[in-house]
Amino acid sequence: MRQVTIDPISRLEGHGKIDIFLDDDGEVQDVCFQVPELRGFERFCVGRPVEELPRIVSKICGVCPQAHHLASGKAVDGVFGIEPKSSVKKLREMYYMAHYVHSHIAHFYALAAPDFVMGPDADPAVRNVLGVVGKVGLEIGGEVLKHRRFGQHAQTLIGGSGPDPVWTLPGGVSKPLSKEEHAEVLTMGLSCVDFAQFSLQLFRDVVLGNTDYVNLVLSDPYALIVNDMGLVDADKKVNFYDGMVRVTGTDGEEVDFYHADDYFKHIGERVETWSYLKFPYLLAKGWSGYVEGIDTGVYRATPLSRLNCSEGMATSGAQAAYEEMYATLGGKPVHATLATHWARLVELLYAAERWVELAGDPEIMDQDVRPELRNVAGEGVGCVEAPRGTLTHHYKTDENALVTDVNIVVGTTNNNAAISMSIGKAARGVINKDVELNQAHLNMVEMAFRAYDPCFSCATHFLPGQAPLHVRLRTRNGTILSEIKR
Amino acid sequence: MPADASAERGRCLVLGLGNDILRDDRIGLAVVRGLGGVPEGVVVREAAIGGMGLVEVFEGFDRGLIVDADQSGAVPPGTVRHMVLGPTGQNPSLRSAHDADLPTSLELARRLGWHVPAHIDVVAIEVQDAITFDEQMTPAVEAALPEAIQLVRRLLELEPED
Repeated sequence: MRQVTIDPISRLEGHGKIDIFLDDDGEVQDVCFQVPELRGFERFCVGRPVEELPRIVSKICGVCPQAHHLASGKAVDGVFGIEPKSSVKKLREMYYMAHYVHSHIAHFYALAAPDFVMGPDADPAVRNVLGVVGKVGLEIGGEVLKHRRFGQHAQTLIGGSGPDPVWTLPGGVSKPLSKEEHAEVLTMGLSCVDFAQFSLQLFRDVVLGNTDYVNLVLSDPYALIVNDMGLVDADKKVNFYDGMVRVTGTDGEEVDFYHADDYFKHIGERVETWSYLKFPYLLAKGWSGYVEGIDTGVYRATPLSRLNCSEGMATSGAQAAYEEMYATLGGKPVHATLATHWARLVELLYAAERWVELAGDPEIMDQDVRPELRNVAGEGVGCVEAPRGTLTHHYKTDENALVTDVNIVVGTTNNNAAISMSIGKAARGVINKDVELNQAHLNMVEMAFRAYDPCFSCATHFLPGQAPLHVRLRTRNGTILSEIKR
Repeated sequence: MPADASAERGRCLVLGLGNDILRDDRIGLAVVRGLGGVPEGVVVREAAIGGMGLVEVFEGFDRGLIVDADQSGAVPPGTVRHMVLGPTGQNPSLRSAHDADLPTSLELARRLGWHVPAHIDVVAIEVQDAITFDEQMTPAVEAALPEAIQLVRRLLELEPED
């Protein structure tokens, strides 16, 4: 048996990797997707005042600290038995929309666009954001950086600090919005709406205008027929900050609908000996293995899943983009993994439009945003849609609000089984005994992984200058037949 | 982001990168905290970001120096190394799994006409464990702290070469 190893996570050498096992005939036999798990977080938290956790958890992840900060803040609200007032919720949600804009722009232009603008088989030396800008124009590159920066700067203005947020307090936030900050936040939000529309048009021109790409997106190796999860509002439309958890099946019908507080009654967690990370599944369906189809317990929590399991978008431009996507791809639900990139752009537009909508709400200028605390309920669950999937924080404390128990289910954990299966399908579609493995094949496999934008809860300043992708072909006894790095 | 990047012209940014609750990952922060006084024109900051976000931090500066944890596996924990990020440097990747890497982001910024340092010195300290939540570093990495501080001070020409 030969073994192919794809290791895109050099910081955590030996942990985060993709192993593709080939049988003696050179066909793909099995796939393992392994990610590292940061150790000892619960022990680190136990005994600390729970109100410190929103500031601590924002350091778990250098990619989505704002998602952890807000989920944690909501869990702490629960611990103190306090429901934030409407103005506080709107402020937090507007802050979060700016984070989504920042995150989705970075992913699309730095990671997704190179595959389509430059081509999935392009030389890795040019398959990057520089290649994209070289092809679509320097002016567009400037707009990408400008709007990405707007997303970050708006968070700084609203939350009062940079990438490591220290803003939420039990039931409130540490600072209100000033008139000057509000004017700047609104101006940037309006510009982001235009940029999101531009990005959707770029997708239409580059991807939908190319028959080969459309065929690739819709091809079987990049499809995965599993359930979809996401937060929805009272109208069952997509919401990133608040709502009920909705799950729809492979036929689009609702299979579960619950309050995030009850997540442990609806989600099971399977443990595998070969992975540090658990494999959540739907208790309503039960665990039936890494299988697709109507009876599978596997689900996805991704931009595409959020659109699949909702009844639409709550803003007008995003709703039109949502309808266009489903009309083009043959109706709901869509199981094409690579369509996640399109869904991410629909979400980018929604986030920008919702940002502007909230900025126009009179309540957003409420200066009374720090409520008085009266009691300790002792337990709280906070749930938001992180850009990479449904994120849940669950805390328990003693009567003095000192932490006794912590459980966190992060976005990528939800997608663990689905990512493994998607990589397997892509590998089977690309690698076989007749293929001389090259960079293009590796990228075609990695594209299935990249669509999820998986988050490894690690710092983002990976220093080693080692190859981001490492593939080894081995014989059954471990002898390396060939090795490719890039 | 700087309100006025031109205010940074002629200055050097020393940036400590790391996460101070992940055991050895805090070494970059510990080094810049231990630098002591720096002359006018040298700015010391801390961050836990990568990719394009880092470029925004360096915008406007003439010179840059990054201090960060490294996990190459090629040298023993506690080894302090100096690299250069730039057109002729060794270009350690400083990758983000969710973003463009730093060299790519710097090049994009240059093409867009941003004022960013032509070269960025990198002081890398090999770590042993950067995935366990802890506020204490492992002994080998803790012991490397004086050497790393001294190297940064030499690069800033605050101390003579041996």
